[in-house]
Amino acid sequence: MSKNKATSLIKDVIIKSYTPGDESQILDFLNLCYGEWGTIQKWRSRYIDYPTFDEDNILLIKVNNRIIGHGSIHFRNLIVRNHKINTASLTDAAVHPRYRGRGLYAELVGIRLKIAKSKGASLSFTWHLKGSNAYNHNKRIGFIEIKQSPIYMKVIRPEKVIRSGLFDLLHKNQKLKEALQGLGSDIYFRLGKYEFSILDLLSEDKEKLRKNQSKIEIVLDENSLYVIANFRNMTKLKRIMSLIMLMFLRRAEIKFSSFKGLLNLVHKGVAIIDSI
Amino acid sequence: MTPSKPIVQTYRQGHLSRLIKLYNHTLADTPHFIRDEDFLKYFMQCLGVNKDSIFVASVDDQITGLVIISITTENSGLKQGNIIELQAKDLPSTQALIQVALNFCKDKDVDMIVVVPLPLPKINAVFKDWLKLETGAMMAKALSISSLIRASLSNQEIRDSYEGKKIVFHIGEEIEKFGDITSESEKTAILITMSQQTFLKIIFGQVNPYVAYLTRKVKIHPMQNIFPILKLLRRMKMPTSLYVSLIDRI
Repeated sequence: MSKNKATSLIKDVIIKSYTPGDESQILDFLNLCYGEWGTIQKWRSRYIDYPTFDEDNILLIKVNNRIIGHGSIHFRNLIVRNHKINTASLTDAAVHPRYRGRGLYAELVGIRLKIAKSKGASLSFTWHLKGSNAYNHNKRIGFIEIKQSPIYMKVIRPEKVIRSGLFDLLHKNQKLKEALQGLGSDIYFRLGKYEFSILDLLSEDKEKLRKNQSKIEIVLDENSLYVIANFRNMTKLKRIMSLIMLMFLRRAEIKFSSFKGLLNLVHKGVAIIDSI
Repeated sequence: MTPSKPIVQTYRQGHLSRLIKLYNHTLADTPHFIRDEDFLKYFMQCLGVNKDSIFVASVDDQITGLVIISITTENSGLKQGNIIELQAKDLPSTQALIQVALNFCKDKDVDMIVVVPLPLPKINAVFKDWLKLETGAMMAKALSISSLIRASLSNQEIRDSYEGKKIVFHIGEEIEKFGDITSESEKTAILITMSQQTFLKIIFGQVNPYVAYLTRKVKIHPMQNIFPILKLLRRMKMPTSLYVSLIDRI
């Protein structure tokens, strides 16, 4: 494949399709970029077992034989009034954190659209967080947002759902993770009898870090679940407004173990809000 | 006579061809991603799905519904029951399948269950004590306009009502002709001009063609053909919104 603008800025770039043997490197790469992408079983199920799988459907950008970019295509027909339309869903796009901001994502989209068209697809789909860089880029190049059916969720253990939601958010948002690590206080979440802290979620040397830290406690009630469950899919403005509403409606309360905790939050609050 | 109650049982291999018939009924008028035997088998072998987590509902030996459940555990320790596919002809079958899925997931000690139900009338009543989630944004871009136009005009009724008309669609940089158009007759054909995005928005029912015309997003030449053409564009819209189940959201 030919190099173009973005990749020509990086030395020794190769763009190639997947070949058997790449899977463990791909998996490490996806787990690095997504925080928590999944296991080799998930990868096999999603790719190798997929009815229209082809090695060309996985695109890799490599530098010195190391993956710095990944994007894939899932081909399938869309049925409209008994008429088949060949479609290509652009999936699992990822760029290594060190190579972001150099146009590699745009290139991954562009190349996959060309491949999709050359294989006869008439329509292309993608799924993104609203307002994300990928969402904004795709809107600029002619994608439109389309309505999809809602997802319903039945919560059996609210405390586990909240813990997992925060775990997911922290592992997918490096900026927020760093802002919270630099807070100097450990944040505890409490829902009924259940309690966990940010340090627990980051699974670092908690005891060592905890020694000199003050404690900030956030007490949630079960009505806060709707906001927490939807948090990841909200725009930044909506996230901040939702947090303010939780406080205002007393569905979440903040308690400080010491004045130091309050000062820490006031001091680092802007950085945390900025990274949400 | 009161209608029989749906009976729910675990899936057997012999059900497969009858499930295709079920899909032909449940998704007949709804735009959807393909569900042929290959894809159904794939759904049934997805991560977290096993032969005990697939159930079919039937009434008088007729299959009326299907549910496929995948149980997964996240790195955070969250055990999730994913109803990756739920198809049912009617509300009682949906209710029966959801009840079985709930019991199955509770037996497996899951922490939460997620599902995308089919847009049946009164479906909200079944999920009244569930949380409705805001999903990420699904986006679409046209790669070939001609195939989309052909699909939109594949309805015989629409074709018949525009029999004899010569229409040229000029969408983005692509040109597609409708009707028997030669290089001579092209001069007298009706020309519709719009961007790819406007065309897609019309197809997906997000823009009313009349409004698009008034805001100059759609141009029609000659002027005397405006109303029948706007009516045609309105009929090209997808009959209902696209059905995208959990398994489709890859």
